[in-house]
Parts: sequence; C-alpha cells; structure tokens
Amino acid sequence: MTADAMVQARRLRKVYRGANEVEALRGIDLEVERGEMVAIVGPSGSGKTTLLNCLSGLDSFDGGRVVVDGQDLSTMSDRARTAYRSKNMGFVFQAFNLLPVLSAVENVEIPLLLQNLNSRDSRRRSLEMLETLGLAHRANHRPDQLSGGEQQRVAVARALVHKPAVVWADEPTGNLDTEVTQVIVELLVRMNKDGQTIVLVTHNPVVAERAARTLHMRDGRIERTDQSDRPAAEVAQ
Amino acid sequence: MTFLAVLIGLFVLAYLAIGLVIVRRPLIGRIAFREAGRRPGQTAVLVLGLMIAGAALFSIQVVYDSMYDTNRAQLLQQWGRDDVEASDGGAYFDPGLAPRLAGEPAACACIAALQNAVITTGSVVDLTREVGKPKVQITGLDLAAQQRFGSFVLAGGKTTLGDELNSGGVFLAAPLADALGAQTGDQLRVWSRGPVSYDVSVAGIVRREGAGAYGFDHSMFASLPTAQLLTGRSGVNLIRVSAAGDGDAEIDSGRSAAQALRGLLATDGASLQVLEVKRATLDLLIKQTQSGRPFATSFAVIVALAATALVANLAVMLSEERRPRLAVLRALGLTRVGLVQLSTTEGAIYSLLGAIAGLPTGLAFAFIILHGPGLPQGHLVFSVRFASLVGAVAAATLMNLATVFLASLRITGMSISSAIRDLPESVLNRRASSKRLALMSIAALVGFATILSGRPWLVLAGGALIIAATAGFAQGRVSDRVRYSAASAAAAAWAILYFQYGPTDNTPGNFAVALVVTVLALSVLVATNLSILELAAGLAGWVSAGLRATLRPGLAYSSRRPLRSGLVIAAFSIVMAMLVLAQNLIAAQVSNYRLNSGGWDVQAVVAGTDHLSLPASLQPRVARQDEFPSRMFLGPVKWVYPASDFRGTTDWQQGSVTVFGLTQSQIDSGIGFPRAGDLTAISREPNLVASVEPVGSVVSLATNHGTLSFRVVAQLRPTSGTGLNSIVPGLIASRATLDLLSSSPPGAMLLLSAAPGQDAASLARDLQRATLSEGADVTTTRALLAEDIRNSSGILTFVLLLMRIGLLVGVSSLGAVALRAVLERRRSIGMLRAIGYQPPQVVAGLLAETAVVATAGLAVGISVAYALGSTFNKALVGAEFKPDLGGTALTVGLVYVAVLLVTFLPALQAARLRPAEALRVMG
Repeated sequence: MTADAMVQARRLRKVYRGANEVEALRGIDLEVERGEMVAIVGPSGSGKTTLLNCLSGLDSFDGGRVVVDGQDLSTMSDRARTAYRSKNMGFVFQAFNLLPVLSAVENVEIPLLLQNLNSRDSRRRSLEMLETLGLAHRANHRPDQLSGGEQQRVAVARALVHKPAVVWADEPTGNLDTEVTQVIVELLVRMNKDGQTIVLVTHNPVVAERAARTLHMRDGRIERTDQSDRPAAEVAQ
Repeated sequence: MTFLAVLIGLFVLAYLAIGLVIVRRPLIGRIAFREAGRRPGQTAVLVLGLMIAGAALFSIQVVYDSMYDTNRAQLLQQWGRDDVEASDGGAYFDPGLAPRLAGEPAACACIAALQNAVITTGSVVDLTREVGKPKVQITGLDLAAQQRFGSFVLAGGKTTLGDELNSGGVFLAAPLADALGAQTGDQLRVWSRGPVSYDVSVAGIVRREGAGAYGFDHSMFASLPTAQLLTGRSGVNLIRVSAAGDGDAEIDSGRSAAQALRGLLATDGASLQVLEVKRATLDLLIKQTQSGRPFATSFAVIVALAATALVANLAVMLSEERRPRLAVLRALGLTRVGLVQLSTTEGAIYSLLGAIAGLPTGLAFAFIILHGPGLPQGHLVFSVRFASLVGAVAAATLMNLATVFLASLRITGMSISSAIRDLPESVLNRRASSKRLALMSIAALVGFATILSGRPWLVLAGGALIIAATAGFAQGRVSDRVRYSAASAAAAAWAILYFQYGPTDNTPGNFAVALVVTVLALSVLVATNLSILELAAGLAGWVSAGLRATLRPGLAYSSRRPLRSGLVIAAFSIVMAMLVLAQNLIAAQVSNYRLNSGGWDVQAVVAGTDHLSLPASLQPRVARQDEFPSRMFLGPVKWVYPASDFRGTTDWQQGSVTVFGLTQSQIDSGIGFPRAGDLTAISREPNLVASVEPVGSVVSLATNHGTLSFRVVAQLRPTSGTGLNSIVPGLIASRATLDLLSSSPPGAMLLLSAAPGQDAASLARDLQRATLSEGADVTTTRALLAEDIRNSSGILTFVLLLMRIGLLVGVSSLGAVALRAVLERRRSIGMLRAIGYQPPQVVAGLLAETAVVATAGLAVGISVAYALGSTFNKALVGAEFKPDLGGTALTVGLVYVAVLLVTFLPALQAARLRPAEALRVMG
C-alpha cells in the first residue's frame, strides 16, 4: 500500500448466499489515492455497487481486507464502522435519498448533528455548503419542492458538509437528464479539485471520463483500468 | 325497508360492481388478486387492521342478541303458562266468575285454563330468624287449577302442584328465603292490609322456575283460602288465563284468548280489564332492545371509526409503497379510473377477508363483555343470529371499502415520471378549483339546512359543516396550516360551547356528534401543529446535537405528515375520551354520597300499614326525620313519555307503582334531592307528581275506580345510572293523592338523617330491631347506593370494556403504522445508517415518533373528556364532573407501555437493517 492510499482493498470477496450462490466480488485488489477521483464502470450485475458498498463499510464481505484512511474496516464492529462512516465518509445515491419530511438545510445538517456539532454551527455550515452549491435560496424547501438536480445537489451538500475523507457516489446522475448530469459532474469534479477523494459508480461514460482513473468491472473482477493521462486536477479542468 | 336490508343491498351492489369490473377488465382482477397474494405477511397485517370494525360491530350485535334471548327466556320463565290476566285494578270480585266463564258453552278452545288468584303486597317477618322484609308479593292461587299453570320446584328438587299449601302454609321464593334467612318450618308474621297480622309457617322454599318464577323475587305463594285470610278479603282480585298451545304457539293464541275473555266478561256483565301480560312484556323487551341497540352500537361504531383511521393509514401507506409499480401501469395505459378500480378491487378482497376474520374476534369480544360484571344477570343464553352476522360483515366491509376507495383517490394524481423512479411528487400551489368550490357550496348549504331543522345534534353537526366548508373556500388564499388550525379551533370551540350552553338534549346522538366533532377538530388542530414539538427537539439540540439528530427524523415524520398523524391521533383520542368519561361516571357516582343520598342516612320501609314511627328511644340519635305514607298499586300501568324521550308510549303492563304522600310542610321543605321543575306544584292537584321520569311524563293506573293518570311536574335526581332513585322509589305526591288509591295496599317509609356523631349503620340496626314486630325493613342509604352502583355499573363496565378494546385498536394501529413505516422507509433508514446513525438511534427515533403521536392522541382524548364531561355527567347522573385522576393515569401508563411494546419490534427490525440491503430496495 502506498503512503498516499486513501482506500485499499486486498483480495476482496463477497458472496451472496441463497437458493443460488452468487460470488459478486472475486478477489478484488484496489487502491484509491488521497484526492483521487475514481470511476467504477461495468455492465449490470458486474459487482460495481457491491464493491462500493464493501469499500465504504455499508456491507460486510466474506474475504480480504479493506483499509480506508489507515483504518481496517474488516476488523471493526458494526458500531465502530458506523461511527467511522459518520465522521469520515459521505454518500451520494442515485435516488437522492433525502428525508422527504426535512427541508434542504435540515437534510444537509444531519451529519454535523451526528457529530455533536452544536445547532448554530451546524446550521451555519450547512447553509454555507448550500450556498457553495448555489442552493442557498432553496434552503428551506422540502425535497418535493425541488427539482431532481436540486435534490441531488442537496445530497452532495450532505455528503460534503462534514468534510469527509472520502465521498462514495452510487450512480449519482442515474436519475438526471443530460444537462443536470453535467452540473452534478462539474460539482463533483470541483470538489475533487479541492482535494476531495471521490469514488463513484456509473453507467454513464461522460461521467466516467471525468475521473482520473476508471475501473472496468465484469463478473466480480476488475477487468481493466483506464488511467487518464492527466493528473486529476487537470482532468477536472 | 329495514336498515339491515339497505346495508345488505349496498354490500351486494358494491361487490356486484367490483365483479363487473373483474369480468370486463380481467387484467385488473388478475393484478388485484396477485397483489393480495404476493406478500402474505403484508396481507395479514392489512386484514388484521380491517377486521377490527367487523369485530366491534359483530360483538355488540351478539351481546344484544344474547341479552335479548337471555331476558326473553327469563320473562317466559317468569310468566310460565300465564298468558292473559283479568283484574279490576286490584279490587276484589266474585270468585265464582272464573268458573262461570270457564263453563260458558261459547268459551274459546284457545283458552286452556282459568285460575283464580289473589295478588297483593305486604310485610313479612320471620319470627324464627327475627328478620323482616316489606314489599313482599303475596300470591294466592286456586290450586285446583294449578295443573295447567305448572309445578313448583322445591329447593331440594322435588316438584309439586302445591299440595303442601293446603294445610295453611306458604312457599317462599328462594331470593326472599335468602333475604330472611328462612327455612322450611319457620314461623312467619305477615301484614297485608292494615295493622292486623297473621302468622303462617313456611311449607317450602321454591326455586325461581316453573310456577315459583311468577312475580317479584321477594314472593310468597299461598293457597287461595290462606291468601284470603292474609288479606282479610273473601274474594279474588285476579284471573290468570293460560292460552292453548305451547311455546310461541301459546303466546300467539294468547291474543285470541284475550279477545274471547273480553267477550265472555262482557256477556257476564263484569268490567275487568284484560291484559295480554306475556305478550306485552315481550313486546316491551323487544322495544327496549330496539331502542338500546343503536345506543350500544354507537359505542361499537366509535371503535370501528378508530379502526377506520387505522385502515386509512394502512391504505395510504400501501398506495405509496406501490406508487412506482402503479406508475408503470399508468405509463402502460391504465387510466386513472382503472387505477381506482384496481386499488378498490384489491381493497375489496382485503375488506371482505377482514370482515369475515372479524367474526371470531367479535365472538371473543362478546364473550368477554357478556361475562363481565353486570351484563346480564342469571343464566346466559349466548346467541348468534345470522342477520347480525351478515349485517356486521356487510357494515364492516362497506366501511372499509369506502375508506380504501377514498384512499385510492389520493394516488390518481401522481406524476408518472416521478413515481416510476420513486421520486417525490412535486407539490403545486393550488387554488380552489371550481369543482371544489361547488362541493364546498353544497356542504355549506347542507350545513345551513341542518341548522334550520332546529334539532340540537343537527345544529351542532351543521355548524361544524359550515366551518369546514368555509375552510375549503379559503384554500389557496392562506397557508394550509393557518387554514386547518383556524377551522379546527373554530369547530372544536363551536362543538364544546354548543354542547355546554346550547339547548338541553340528553339523547345519545347529541353527545355522539359533539364528541366526534370535537375529537376530529382537535386532532386536526394538534396534527397540524405538531411541528411545535420540533421546537422542543430544537431546544434539546442545545443540550445534545446527537439527541437532536436522533429525534429529528421521527418528529419530522409525525409533524409533517399531518394526515397520517391526525388519523392515529383521532383514533386514540375518541376512545380515550369515552374511556375517561366512563371512568369518571363511575367515580362520580361513588364519590357523591351526600348528593345521591339526598342527605338521608337511613331508610325504613313497611308494607301493610301506612304508619311507621321512630321509637322514642332513638329520637336523640336522629337529626331529621320524615315519614311518608304510601300506596302500592299493583295492576295495569301505562307510561307516556315526552316527545323528546326515545321511550315514547308503553303498552298497558301489569306493574307496581308506589306513591308516597307528602304533607304540605314536607313539600315546602323539599325532600333533599336536586330536581328540575316545581315540587310545590304537586300540592295544587292530586294528579300532579314528582318522579325520576322527565317532566311532562304521564303514568296511568287502571284502578277499580277507573283509570287514574298522574303527570310529572318535577323531576327528581336519580341515585344511579339506572335512572332510579332507590331512596324514594316511587312517585312523590301530596297526601290527597293517596285517597285516590284507597283500594291499593298501604305502606310507609321513614327517612332519617343521623345526628352528628351518630353511626348510620348502628342506628339502622337498632331501628330494625325496634320495628321488627311491624315487619319493617331498615337499610342505610349507603348500602342502597352501593347496590345502585352495582346495578348500574353493568352498562358503564360494558362501555369501559368496549373502549379498552378501542384503545387496543389505537395501540395496534400505532404498531401497524410503525411496521409499515419500517417497510416504507427502508431506503431512508438505509441512508441514515449509511451516514452514521447507530442502531439505538434508529430505535429511539421510531419510538419517539409513535410516542409523540400517542401522547397527542391521549392529550386530545383527555381534553375532550374534560371539556364535555361536565355536561355529560350532569345529563347522565346529575353529578359534577370529578376526574378520576388515578384511573386516567393508570390508563395512560398502560397505553404507553403497550405502545412501546408494539413499536419496539418494528423499530428493532429497522435498526437491524443492513444499510447496503436497505438502500438496494426499490419501490
């Protein structure tokens, strides 16, 4: 593992047991460097989301090892993993997954409250984050009063507000049209340029080509890796 | 057309319409059936929710059917083979009349037998045990005709036609023997007419069955000659007639027998009044059952309404969960009408299953209620009628189906593209549409029309409807929160104020409307403003941001989904209000000794003489005393109640009415009980009386001097929920009234207030000892009131039990809502877990959410009970509203425990969701 590796996976295996046993991850080796933006692509059922879930500690795995920012997730209890996620990770999902009963700013401040930041500071930082993303005027709107792009920007704000070590994004543009996809991608790239490590799963080649590195998956394995010629910062530009 | 027929007709029509949809659009039917069978667990939860209305409605019908059949069996046993009776208002007539009539060649074959009898009342003292009882019914029978009228069953089980009575002895009915402690062979002293007594011996104790079931519980049976000796009269005062046939055929031929007897009496020139006693009693029972059934059913409807709130919640949740799949169907070409048809068809399956599943549960509820204290006494006939079964299934199915149908309308306006991807629906700021304006106008017009009807409960409902319509007109002009808050506050204020200060109307309908309007209005008000609680959570945030993070989602789900929260709050509050009111009614009766006793501590009653005085030795122990001579009329009685009273007019009945005669000074000083109307008016005319019956009621007594009618001009406060005043158990009139009833047996009552420091029980014991030789029965008023409470607690216990079942519905509804919430919010829970919520935080959030809604429901229920309780208590028992804080606190505590228990499992299930798995769930 290099000194600058933010995420490291070794011989990562995941098996879904049931009537038909499915080996979703077949010994994945992977490293994501600090400040890197990595895209994971591949056909449906190739194991992209499973890999993201295992790397981020959302799901357990059956073999191998995952280390995020120096912490070995495989040795952590569920409670410790949860606490680690709340401090060090941010998530963006395809379906936005905002709480429908909370306003935009209330959704954004959840991670800060979970870290026991006081109410005033939580609100201030959340509003600042929304302002950064151009949503200050929609802070008190609930998700059903926002467009799809706005909802995803709120989700991005929620993922970034507590300055996590890494942001995991699972099909962040899957529910968005081309124009809004572009906005969200630019947003992620801008954050990456500011040093944010981002790992995203996508079907969209336009999104993937903005990443510094693209991992192509098939049948639970990384089939090949496309490295951008330019450094991440340049790619972002 | 009966209500049942309408109900069944609507049920058949509804299912025919659904059947037609399935036939014409098989795809809808197929999808509906597949959806219903796809998730058996989910279907089971729905059916459980839907079965409650059926169970509540069916249980009450079974309770009423059982009570009716039990009472009918008791009445039939009481009357035995005695179907028709002829009397001259208690006056004695020639004993040769009955044999003459029986020997008439024209006598109808419908008359099986005639029997001469003497019926009167008197006081009896068991000289062996030194215990006395007044108001004993003395029945002298012509034993030669006893064969047709059945045998007596002695305590040992031996049956007899009364041969033992020919030697001058008497039979005592078992309850009287128990009260006297009498045994066969004891010597009795009997006073029946005047101060002259007569001694007889106990020839046997008879069970209350066969011939021994006739008359009061405190009955004594003698041969005709012995009864004539006891009364000092040589004639008879009653002819008992047994109609031909058995069972129902006998009751039917009673009508012909009565007509034939009237003809025979007319031919003979006798002017006796002929009553179909058995049929009339059964008719009265049917009338009482018919009038009481809607009252009891209304409580079941309250439970069913609470269950409807649960059903509505489940239906809304289900439709939201299905939203993506339904959107796909819409995209494929299913119309909005088709969508409603699909949801309603699926709902129809659940509704029918729920209603049918409610039957065994209803039977279980009925069994519990019928075996609770006070309902009914004696051998129980557990009765299940097919009509009740079908009616309950039809009513419950229609209620549930209507709820499911209305809930399905909500989803028809969905945006297909958003719904397919399970994205939130965008909300448009709508102004009132023309269709809505028309609907609101109609509602307002209906409201005005009902107000014009002038009937208090319609005025109350109409006012609420106008307020709701006004709120509807304001849509889009002010925020929903302001609109709902203002309208609900106005409706609640209107209902409370009109119920308290509007025209007096003690009918159940008026109370039910006031209760429902107030509960619904306050539930909407609270549900709309639950966000205030979030401020409280915000304050908690100053202490711990983690606590705020834990509570925020749950509180937000409660406060920002007012429809769902409001439904649960309404379900809880309506049953909680009824529960608190019933608890307080019981508490009010127990705690109002001074008020209920009228200030009297001891009651002494004697029959056979119209004088009962306090011995000089006891005078110093008494602060106040009043003696009331009385007449006890035993014969045909008829009541005509005021138009506002649901009882209307009764038929002529064999009955007993005691009339107490007051002196002018007693009238002027009153007799201690609060009353409505002018008591002094009874001194103006002998036909004016005071009673526990409403002012304006008229009671007619068919005496041998013709029919006497008495009008109630003052209403005395009853001493219990039974509507009776056991301290003064009869009509209160002037002394002059007693002269009109000179042919009725005399009696007297002495009421005493103990001097300060004197023990009422000790005074009663000493007075009993001193007046035993006069046949007096002395009781403390505290004992009489305790007996009253026992007798009246049956209906209150019944209401309490039903409302506790209702609370279970509320609790179950929270459990079901929590369970559904876990299913519906899997992805949100997954997201929260992903970003760092620990499992205990998920559990705490869900528990907080249900606790908030339960608290709101309990608070609204208790508030409504307190707001309406004063008027409710005054109307029912004339007592002030005294909250039973202990009982209420216990109920609240138990509800919280139950709520936490039913919510904990779904919450635990939510906490155990693995984030990755939860986030994968789509739709």
